[in-house]
Amino acid sequence: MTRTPALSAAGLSLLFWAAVCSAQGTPAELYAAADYSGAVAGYAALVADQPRSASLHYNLGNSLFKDGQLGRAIAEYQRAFDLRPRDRDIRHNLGFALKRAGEDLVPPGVPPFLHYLFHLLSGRELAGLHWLACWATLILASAALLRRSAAGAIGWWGAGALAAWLFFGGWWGARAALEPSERAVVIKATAEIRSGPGDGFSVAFTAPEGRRVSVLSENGRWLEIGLDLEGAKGWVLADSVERVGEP
Amino acid sequence: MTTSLLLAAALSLLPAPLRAAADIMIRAGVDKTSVALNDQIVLEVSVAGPSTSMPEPKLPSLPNFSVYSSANSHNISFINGKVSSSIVYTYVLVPRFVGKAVIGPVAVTTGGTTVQTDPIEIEVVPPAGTRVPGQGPASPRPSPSGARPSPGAPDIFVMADVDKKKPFVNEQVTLSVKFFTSVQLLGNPQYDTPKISGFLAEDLPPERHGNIEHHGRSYYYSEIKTALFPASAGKHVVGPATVRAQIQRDVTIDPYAPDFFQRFFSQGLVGAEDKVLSSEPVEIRADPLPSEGKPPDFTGAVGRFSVSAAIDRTEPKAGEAVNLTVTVQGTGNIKALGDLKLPDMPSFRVYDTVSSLSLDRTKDVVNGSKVFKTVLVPKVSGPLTIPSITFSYFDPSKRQYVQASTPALRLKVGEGDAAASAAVAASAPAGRLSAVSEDIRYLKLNAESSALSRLLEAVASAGNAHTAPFLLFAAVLSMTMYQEREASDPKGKRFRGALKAARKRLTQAAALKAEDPKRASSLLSEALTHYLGDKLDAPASGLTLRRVIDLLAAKAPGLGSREHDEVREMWEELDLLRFAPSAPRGKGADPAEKLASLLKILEKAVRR
Repeated sequence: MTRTPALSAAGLSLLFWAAVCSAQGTPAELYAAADYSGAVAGYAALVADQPRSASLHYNLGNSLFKDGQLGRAIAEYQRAFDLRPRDRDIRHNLGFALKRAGEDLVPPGVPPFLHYLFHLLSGRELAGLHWLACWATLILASAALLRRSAAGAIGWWGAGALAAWLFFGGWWGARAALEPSERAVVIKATAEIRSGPGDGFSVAFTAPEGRRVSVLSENGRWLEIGLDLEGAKGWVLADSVERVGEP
Repeated sequence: MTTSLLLAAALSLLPAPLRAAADIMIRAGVDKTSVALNDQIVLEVSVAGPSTSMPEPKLPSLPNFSVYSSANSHNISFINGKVSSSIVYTYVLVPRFVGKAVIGPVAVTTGGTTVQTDPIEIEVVPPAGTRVPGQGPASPRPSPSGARPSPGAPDIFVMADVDKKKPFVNEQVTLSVKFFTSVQLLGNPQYDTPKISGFLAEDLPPERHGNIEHHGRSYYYSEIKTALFPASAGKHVVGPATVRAQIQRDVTIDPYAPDFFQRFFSQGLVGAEDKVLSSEPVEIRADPLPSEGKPPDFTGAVGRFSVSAAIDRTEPKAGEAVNLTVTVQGTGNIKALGDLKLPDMPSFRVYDTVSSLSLDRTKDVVNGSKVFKTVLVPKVSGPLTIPSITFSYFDPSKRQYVQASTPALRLKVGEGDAAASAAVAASAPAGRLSAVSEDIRYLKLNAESSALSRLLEAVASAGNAHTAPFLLFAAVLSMTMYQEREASDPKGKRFRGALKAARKRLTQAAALKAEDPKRASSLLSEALTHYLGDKLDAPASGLTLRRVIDLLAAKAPGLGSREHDEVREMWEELDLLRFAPSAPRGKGADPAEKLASLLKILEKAVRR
């Protein structure tokens, strides 16, 4: 029930933007003409219509970066990276923007090739491979039970499918265990992180724009966030960060 | 013509330092040539030459003065590609004796050649309104308050103290050495600085003088201050400060003594006594700088600083030089500031940074500025940015590290001429890419995910459909297990399937009743005999009624004689129907219905 109005709104904004584009140019043309705020508006409308397009998130990130909105740009690059982690351009721009925020794409102490391999597949792709291997394993096992005479040949294929199921399942599980369940990016120039969910609590530390944080819990207008790099956590106003969930 | 060419060639073959020495100029000057004994003069020595690193001048021996180094300032200029610089060293000289004094030649040596200044004559006059040492004996000054001096109060003493005993490493500690006297001195006292190890020291001129009351006695005092910066954490000791002074010694004069005249002519009527006074050592314990929160670019600056950056032009052409000036100023040990780390600027050719220093000691606090000048040459045209430059320091008042930064500077670089661009391009190693600038990559105009990715994403999004293979497997597994169980227990299989088989025959018999009554009767009989055979684990073919009754009695003890009779009746009725289908039948119930009822009773009663 709630999905229908949201889709309608996205459709309306897309129609509106289509009308604007015909008068002012496409977002790409606006970007090329250095009208970055116009490009941001255009790509934002397109992203609302196609939230699972890595290219659109990437292009919106580029427009935001050029428009001086580092935090929001990193949020969009992160979404694009989550959708298509093998894309070299997305990887480059995310790393470039993170450096501006004082962070590295590859965490300190992690060999870059290991980080690349660990993020070779997107979360959805990993889940897809895991389920494909699961289907194959169970179907082959069923066939082996039904056709005892062919169980030997089927068994080898089944063992391979089972190994793939365990491999991709383990990979998927490791990603889920090691990565924050929900990530957010600081979008204010300096976000004040307090020791509790309210203005009455003292400011424990500040975080610069563009810093990626983990969302731990929520309390009204406040989010409890964690900074993995520094091992710190605290509460920040929800409008100081942009949450980067599953597109 | 040939001679001048040869001379030029010979000059060009001279070692570079000699030529540099010949080009170095040194000048010395004072702010006044006549000075009162309680005043001071400022000596400025200027060294100039065609190099960024100039040698430091060497002062001559100045026994008539106490010398304090005050400051130096460094100016560098680039004109038509040539570098010239000058350093001005400032010294404060405090006279020690009345009379004529000479500041000897100040020399600077480089490349084995020495250049020096002319000597400067200074006349030191007695201070106005004060007694001149040696003009007559002085008596202890009366206390302005009229209080009686305490009997133990000394005539002359030295004290040393610091403003803080637990500073951080490289934080300023001000050492104050005070010399008190309540008697007339014969000449200016000589001050030997305390032994200071473990500190970087900076004089804080001028020497201060005044009157003070101490223990009911009025003293004239002189104070010398020194800024100390602990070089390392831990305990450091400032050694005793020593003052050597001559004071008047009371002499009992006996005009009839045999050596009266000898003493009168050799010493005068007043006796002089040498006094050597020392202060107590001062202990300072320096705390280390905290390791938490230390920025990566921190180089040891402690104090309070600000940083600013400026460029001399904002619209140069590619290949033209732009002077970047970064100024770090504030309070702290400016001399110890490390080099400034400039951010990576691949769009520029960056030349070596030259720094100059300016010190100030207002209110006994060492402060000033350090200016870093760097020549940048844009490699390419277009809008370029000099990124923000950061400078980190430790603020002891806040007890935390602070990172000061400049805003980014933007330039609009025009296209340069071919020669300049070629010169810049030549700086890149042959055969390699030359990184010019770093930026994000351009938009993606038509890149979408692959079909395999889309397939995998669709599979991942299947939701509840992923239960299907599990259900399939569970069903196949259950069926297989059931089949295996049946195969391993044929008697049980017969027992469990007995009723089903009997009902099947009943159904077939009902269907054939009209067309083939004999066959239908035969099927009913088979239904009963096979059912009993399956249930009682006996072959149906040789089964007799007697055997059936015996087996029922053994395996179905719950059945009574009435049920046995019903079985017997049913058996005999079906035999009759099978073997004599035309024989007259009673008006009882239909045999098939009766058999179905009997089977229900037997199904409940016969257990395996």
